[in-house]
Amino acid sequence: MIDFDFEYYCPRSIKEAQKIIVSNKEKRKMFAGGATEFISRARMHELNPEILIDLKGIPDCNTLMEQENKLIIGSAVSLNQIVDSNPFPLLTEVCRAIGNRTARNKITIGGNILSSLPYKEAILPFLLADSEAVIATSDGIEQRKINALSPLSDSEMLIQLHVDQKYAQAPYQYKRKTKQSNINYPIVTAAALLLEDDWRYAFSGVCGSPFCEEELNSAINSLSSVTEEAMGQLVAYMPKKVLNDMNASREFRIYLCRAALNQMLKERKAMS
Amino acid sequence: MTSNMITVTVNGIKKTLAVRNAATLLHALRNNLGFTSVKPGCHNGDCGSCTVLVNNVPYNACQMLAVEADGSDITTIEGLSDTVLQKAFMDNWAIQCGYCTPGYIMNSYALIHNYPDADERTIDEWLDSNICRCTGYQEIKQTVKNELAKRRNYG
Repeated sequence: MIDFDFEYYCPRSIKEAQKIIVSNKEKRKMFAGGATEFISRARMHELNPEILIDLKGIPDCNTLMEQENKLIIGSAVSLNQIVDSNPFPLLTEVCRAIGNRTARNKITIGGNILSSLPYKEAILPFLLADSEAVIATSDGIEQRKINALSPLSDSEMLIQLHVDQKYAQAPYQYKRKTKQSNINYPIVTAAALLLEDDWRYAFSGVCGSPFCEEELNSAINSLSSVTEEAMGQLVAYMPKKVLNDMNASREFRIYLCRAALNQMLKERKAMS
Repeated sequence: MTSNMITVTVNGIKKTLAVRNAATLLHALRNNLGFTSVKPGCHNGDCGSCTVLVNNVPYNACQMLAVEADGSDITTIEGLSDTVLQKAFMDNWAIQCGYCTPGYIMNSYALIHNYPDADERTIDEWLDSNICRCTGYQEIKQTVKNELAKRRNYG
């Protein structure tokens, strides 16, 4: 049970949502699509907004379509809608591993990407595909590169994600390492997409937030297998310190990263 | 306003009620409307014991605010009284203590209706949403497989 009260708005357009933001400037606001993370964390007293703005009533947030060679995915589209329609096979596979089937009817793509948890694996395919995010602010609408997306302020709403179709259909690899069972938070997730002749890699669970780094990609692409020594060099290209917490030690995360990369390289050899 | 009036249709009957914005659908169904078959478990979307159908799609009632359900058609296990699936769960002893049973039946019902040709992977994927602390998993899965097979054979 959530033991504090808040105002709830479910605007039917971006304009209506913007008006709510402007007229409640001083209040603590939160946006939700599926509201799953909000409900779980509010119950634990980890969040206490005065206003909850539910974006799923906005048609632009529910779009799932192809337009002019772009795949457009609304932020309030559920993970199962993506899995069932399969417009971006790597994204389908990543989404399919998040939570469980029933939970994925409620978890939205925008919610996962903007999650406060370090995993937010659904962002990996978007990072790899160099996607753009459509953000509505109180002043208007703007487009940002996905790697410049977070954190959003409490007057910015994620409306859509745009992916070039040629990236959405590119060959991919995906490895998810959990501690015990399939249904669990991952320790390390690695995804790769073949763009033109080069593989790009993105990781989550390794550092504090997911990343895709050009220098790291080049370094991995120069290897035929990742030795312990080579892995040490790859870690130097990572944007932040490797996490070391109660879920997994720094050494274990690096070990899993190396295992995932070696699996990918091995499978690639078998494919060619 | 920190509360709202909502209207939901539960098992075919329209209900209008006042709810706190902070109340989950689980709380509203049990405490406002008396549907105690919707079982609280983890309150975190992990165990599936509170699964209900909202517009024929299974949701964890603990992971939905009651205000989000305004205007929806909701089905609880009471709405599946005397269905073949309920009887099949009993006949196959796919129940032990029974606490998880309503959630399992709601999820299985949606699976059978939405994916009558469900393969092993799909069945596993759907049933992974629920937890049975008595570990009656094989009986539950076999019951669902039997009902899918019957449906395929006899329509």
